[in-house]
Order: sequence, then C-alpha cells, then structure tokens
Amino acid sequence: MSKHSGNTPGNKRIRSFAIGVLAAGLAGVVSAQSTTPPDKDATFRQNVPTSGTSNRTTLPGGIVVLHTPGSGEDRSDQTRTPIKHVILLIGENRTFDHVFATYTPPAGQSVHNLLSEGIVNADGTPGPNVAAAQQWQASNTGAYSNAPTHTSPFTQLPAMNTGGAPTQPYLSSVAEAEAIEPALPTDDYVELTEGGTGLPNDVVDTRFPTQLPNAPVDMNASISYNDYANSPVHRFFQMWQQLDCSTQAATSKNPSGCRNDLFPWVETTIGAGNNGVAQPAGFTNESTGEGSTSMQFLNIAKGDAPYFAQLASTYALSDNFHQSVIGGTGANHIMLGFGSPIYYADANGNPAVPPVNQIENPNAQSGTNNWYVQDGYSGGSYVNCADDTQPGVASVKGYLRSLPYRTFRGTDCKQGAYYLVNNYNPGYLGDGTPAPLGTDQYTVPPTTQDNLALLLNRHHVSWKYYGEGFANGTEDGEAGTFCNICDPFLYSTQVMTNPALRANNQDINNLYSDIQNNTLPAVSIAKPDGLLDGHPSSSKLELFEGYVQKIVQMAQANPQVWNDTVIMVTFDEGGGYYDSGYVQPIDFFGDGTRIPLLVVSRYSQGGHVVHTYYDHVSFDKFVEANWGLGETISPRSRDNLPNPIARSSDPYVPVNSPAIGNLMDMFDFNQAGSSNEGTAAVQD
Amino acid sequence: MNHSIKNAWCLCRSSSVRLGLGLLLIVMAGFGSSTSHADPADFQAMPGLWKITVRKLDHGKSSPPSILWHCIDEGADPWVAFANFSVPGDSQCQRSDMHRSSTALAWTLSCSDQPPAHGRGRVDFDSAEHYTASIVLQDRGEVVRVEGKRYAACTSAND
Repeated sequence: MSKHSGNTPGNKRIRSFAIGVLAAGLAGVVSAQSTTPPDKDATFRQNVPTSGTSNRTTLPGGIVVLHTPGSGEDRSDQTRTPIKHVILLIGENRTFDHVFATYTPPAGQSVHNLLSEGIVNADGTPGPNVAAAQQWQASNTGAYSNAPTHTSPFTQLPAMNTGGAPTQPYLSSVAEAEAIEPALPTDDYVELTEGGTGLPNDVVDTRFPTQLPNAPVDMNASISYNDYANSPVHRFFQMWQQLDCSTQAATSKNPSGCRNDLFPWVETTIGAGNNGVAQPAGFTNESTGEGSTSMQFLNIAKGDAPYFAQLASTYALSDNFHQSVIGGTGANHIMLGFGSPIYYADANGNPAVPPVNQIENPNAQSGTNNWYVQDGYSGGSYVNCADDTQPGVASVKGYLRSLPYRTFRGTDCKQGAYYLVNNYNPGYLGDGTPAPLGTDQYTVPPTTQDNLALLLNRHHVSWKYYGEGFANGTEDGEAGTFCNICDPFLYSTQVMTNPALRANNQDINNLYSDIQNNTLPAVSIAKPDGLLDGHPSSSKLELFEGYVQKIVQMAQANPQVWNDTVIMVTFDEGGGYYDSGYVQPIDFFGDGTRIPLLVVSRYSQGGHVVHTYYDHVSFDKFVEANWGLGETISPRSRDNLPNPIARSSDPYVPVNSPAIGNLMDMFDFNQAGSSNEGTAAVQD
Repeated sequence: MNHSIKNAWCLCRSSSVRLGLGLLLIVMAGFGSSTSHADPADFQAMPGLWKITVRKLDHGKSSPPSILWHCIDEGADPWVAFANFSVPGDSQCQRSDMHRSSTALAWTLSCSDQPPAHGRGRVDFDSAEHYTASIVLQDRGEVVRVEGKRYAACTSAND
C-alpha cells in the first residue's frame, strides 16, 4: 500500500479490512492467524476479522473522564474464550535468538533461529550460513543516518568487555538472599550468591576468547549459565543503526531491508550514549565498555535456559513476537500500556518543549565517527518526530517513506510532540505524588494520554499491575529494586490521581495471594524486581526463569486458576542483542527485534511454534478481543492495526503491513475441551 | 573507561540493584568501621529518589530551607551523594580526617576565611531511607543542617 495515498487513517483501516477479505480468498495467501501448523482451531477463529476494532472518538491525548472503579456491572467474567484471566510476566533484555538460538521444537514444528538458519551449529560453533550474520564496520560523520555507509566487515569482532557486570555476586549467602527476595523457588536462592565475573568493570572480559570470528558468540563455550555477563546498548537511535534498514537491501523475504549487521559497530562507536560530552582522547573499541557483547547468545542445546525450553516444548512459543519500540525498558513498557509512546506535556496534557539537554541529537560530533552530539540516560531522550528538521528524524522517516507500504498513521507523530524514546522516570511516585521535574531530573511529566487501564475500567474489566518491590507505593521493597519505569500506569494522571485506580498497583505477594485465593483480576501484568528480571549484568536469565516457575507452579497448583488462566511470558526488549528475524517497521518508533513469547495454559499445549507477526501491543489486542471490548485504547494506539495476513510459504512477513496479531492463534481451544469453546467469534 | 563515558551509565537499573544489595550486606556486617576508602556500595542507604532539605543557620537562626531532589545510584560515592554541601558564605573549605562507617560519615573542615575557620561535619543514617547531617564551625556553631529522605525508586535508566 502506498504511503502517498492520502487516505485518512480511518479510510485506511477500512481499506485494510477490504484487502484482507480479498486476500483471504486468493490461493496461497491466507491469514497468518490460521497458518501455523497444525491448526486445530480454525473453526473457532474463522470469523476473526482482520481489521482493528473501533477507537474512541475523543481527541487523542486529551483528558478523559475519570471513572469510578467498581461502579456498574463487573464484566470481568464475560469473555469470548474460556480464558477468564491473563497474567503477563515481563522479563528484561533478551532477543529471541539470544535465548532460543539452538532450540529444536517438537516434531512437526518449525522455528526460525540461529540453528535453523544455519548461522550456528548446535554446539555453538559457526554454521554453514554464518555469513548471514556477518557484522560490518561503517562510517557516519555529520548528519545521523539510520543506515550508515558500510566500510568493511570485521575481520575479528572487538573483544568482549565486562562493562557493568559484577565482579562478585550481589549476595554472599542464601540466608541473605531469602531475607531480601521472596519470588524464587527454594532451590534457586543459591543462584543469587554465585556467578560474579571475578574481573573489574569496563575491562576486556578475559573469560571469552580474545580472537572472535565474525559470528554470533556462544556464551556457553566460555562462561556458565550461572555467570553474570555484560549488557549491550539498546537505545533508540542506536538500535535503528544496529538494524541497518534500507529498502535498497529489501528482498521478498525481507521487504523492510533490515540487515541486522551493525550491532558491534554501534556498540563500539557510541555505546549507551554520552550525555553530550566530547569523545575522550585515546578512544578505542573498548572505550564504551561493551566490545561485541551484542553478539552473545545462550545455548539451549547445551543446557542453557532449561525451564524456558521446557515451557516451549510443552506449551506454545512465538518466534515472531517483537519489541514494540526501538529502544529500552521504559519506552517499551509505555507502548504496552498506552499502545503508543507518550510525549512531554504541560500541566494540561498538551505537547510542550522539554529542556534542551533532554532532546536527542544523534548527529555525529565534529571529527568523530558516530559519536552523537547529545544522547544519554542523563541527556537527550525526546524526539519531535513530526519535524523533519529535528536531528535524526529525516533519516528514519526517509527510510519509512521508502517502504512499499504506508506506515501506521503516516509515522504517528503528533505535531509539536516531543516523544520519549528511551528511559525517563514516570511522572508519579508510587504514592501518587507528582515526581519532581527539571533539567536534571530526567523525569517525563505526567501524561493524560489514554491507556489500557482506562480502557478496561471503562468496560468494567478488572486489572492489576504487580510490581515486585512496590511496597504499597513506597517503592522500597526488595532492597529498593522496584522498577518504576516498568509500570506504565505510574505515568498516567488518570490512574495515579484516582485512589481506587492507583490501588491496582500492587506487589508480588498480592499476586501470590490472588492466585491462591481465586481473586485474580481479569488482566494482570507482573514485573520482577531488578534482581530477578533477567537483565544482563544486574540479573541472570536463570533468575527470571525461577520467578516465572514459581508463578506457573502456583497457578497449576490451584485447579480453579489453572482451568481458566493463561500465563504469558515475554521481555521488554531484546536488550541490544543480535537477532536474525524479520523486522516490520510500523511507525517512527518501531518495531524492533524479536523477543521470546511463551504462552502457558491448558489451551496452549503441544509445543507449537507460532509464526504470526506480533509485538507488545498484541497483548492489548488480545485483551480487547478476549473480553470483547469493541474499542481500542485511542485513535493513535497500535491496537488499531489489523491482524496480519501472510503467505503460507512465509508466515513471518505480513503482506498487509503494518499489521500485528491478537495472539489468539497461540491457543487451541478445541483441544482442551470447554463448554463454550469455539462458540464465540474472537475479534480484535 | 573514560570518566565522561562512565557518567552516561550513572543512572541504571543494574546500579540500583548493586547499591541496594551492597548496602544491606553492610547492615549485616555491622557499624563501626572507620575508613574513607571502602567500596561505595558498602553504605547503608537505599538507592532511589531522595528529597534533601538544606537549612543554613546563622547563630541558631534558620533561613528558609532549600529543597533538592537527587536520584542516588550505585555509582554514587557516599561522600558525594550525602556529604557534598557547602558552608554558607564564600568559604573555601577543605575536608580532612574523613571517617566512614556503614551508617555515618564524619570529617573535619578547614576554611580559608579571615580569620580561618575550623569545624566538623557529620552525616548520620537512622535508617536506609533517612539521614540527618550538619556542619558545625568552632566560632559560629551549627551553620548547615540537612535532612535527607528517600521517597521513591529512581531508575534513571540503562534498561
């Protein structure tokens, strides 16, 4: 679809539906919602429309009417499937290939990973098609380019660096771990007392070979799954460059032309930003403290990630679920909660101009190769993407305009809005106090933009956000490791100024209590603390596995809960790790790389690997479909996108881009048996 | 790593984890060591958003307080995060004889006033989320009084 059609978004949505109906009748082109073999649930979903549902008629980003929770009839039990409760568990910073690189699914299933693509062998060594993951050096002087000019491939990858990985484990005894941390199975606490690098921060990581071929690096060959490791860059403009998207490189299997071939180059030239300072003298490939960390992968074939491998082979795994924003934790959790990014706003919720030092400028400083002018966690993080003259904007939008389809809402940038594309603190503290603002606070002002909580509340569907360490709003549980930027509702004026809605922000023990006492809300989002979230350097994936395992086993131990509850396990983003999967650009902000999604329930058994294209907002679409809301979060939210239509020969690439699925084909409701299964149409 | 690059990472979730746990470890280790060169993480203060109220005093009379909000993270040296307040006036003061335990900082001051002034500074934590601090000069008495209280988490970022 041409971006130059000039149609309104509403017309586009209708047109997408029409194309979907037409395309579904063509030989060889079917809805990706029904292409994942074996599909035993086609009847159930045969009436699933390919277009999004209606959205609110209020102004985008405007103040909505506050609703009183509990008023009116509770509709939490009125679902279109047997699923009455969904619990979304969100870990940190792992791409699909980083975790499932060498996963082999059950017989009859296929998966796209480093092993299946021949990029690596099961033993972790480079495979026959390793050239597909070749990493390049590049040149970007002057104005920012999302696809810098290639110079030459690395002959050897830059050496690994320890970065911020801990020299010693964070805790020295199981007793200390148990005193601080409630969310692990008993046998797992020892993991918190092991795995330090034994090396200083920000030095060459001598645990890895110093001579690294130009290929993904098997962590299992050098360190234990129990060891801490470094974290690669995963900021907005850096990740655009890592993906290296150009339609000149497009192919039929990769129509977006994202080559995923500048990961170490971005790490070693700019890394995680500079907050506007000059490039230091004596700058080398190790100066950013990363080296080639992005190329590390875990090896399931050699025993890494055993619990996630078990869940994948028992339940359902997506190998085409994506981080929704090219960037980090905060921006991706915001997209999950709002279906759109949020912008810097004045006291009335209208777009305003942030302090100068907080505006991104990814142009290269004079005399440097890709050392940005202003970018960093204590620096530039907002972008006015409606203005092509703003630094970095023209390059990204130029690429988006060159795509063979029209991106969502023509890049979805509100006039005058400076969108937050990286991590800033939310506008409210946990107790509802507005957070302090200013040039040195790195906090986004409160937003009045619509979000999922408000949508659910309007429809009288219950919800909670369980943030470990929230501690009744003091945010000081678990040694102060609560993730405030992860709770999308801490950004929301309507939620945080309403005591009843604010009270839906709870802690991990509330989740345990609700599972054990049959008091789960319809929609739950749960986040581990910083110890267990799986974030490299500050956590380990095995710790997030433990967090998930405890919740899954608790749900399975309660037959009433297990009967009608689905537990979804995913990540906020890929953390800057390399991934070989197709990326579908939707708008200025994403999508980014693939991340794992596991769907665990009675209705998703069999080890299926689902290839339908999804991102975080697919969760919102699932909720809207399952509870029959008939409404989207806002006119600007991505839940307005249609479900994907794909060729059976290539289920990964939607032919009706931009499109994201609603997760319904992660289930097989006929297989599990239920009185109302297959009787209701599931629409977005 | 160059210091300027390191600053880009000063606000990160991994840092919060490290500081919070480092601090708790020290609680178990006890109070009473006396070094100014310990690991910055070995200090009993919780990472997060701190509200710091500073009052300047002149012969016991307090000026209106000034409020500062600081996001305290792992990289934060306790001497910088909690003891970095100035003496009223244009005094150029040097710290010396610095002592540190898991819950307190103490030092002596020498200021190049005319005549030169001498005094002492101290920071005392009564919990991981609250402290008081002061500077007392020999001839002027208490000249600065500070109270710090942690209010919330503060992830500024590396995720």
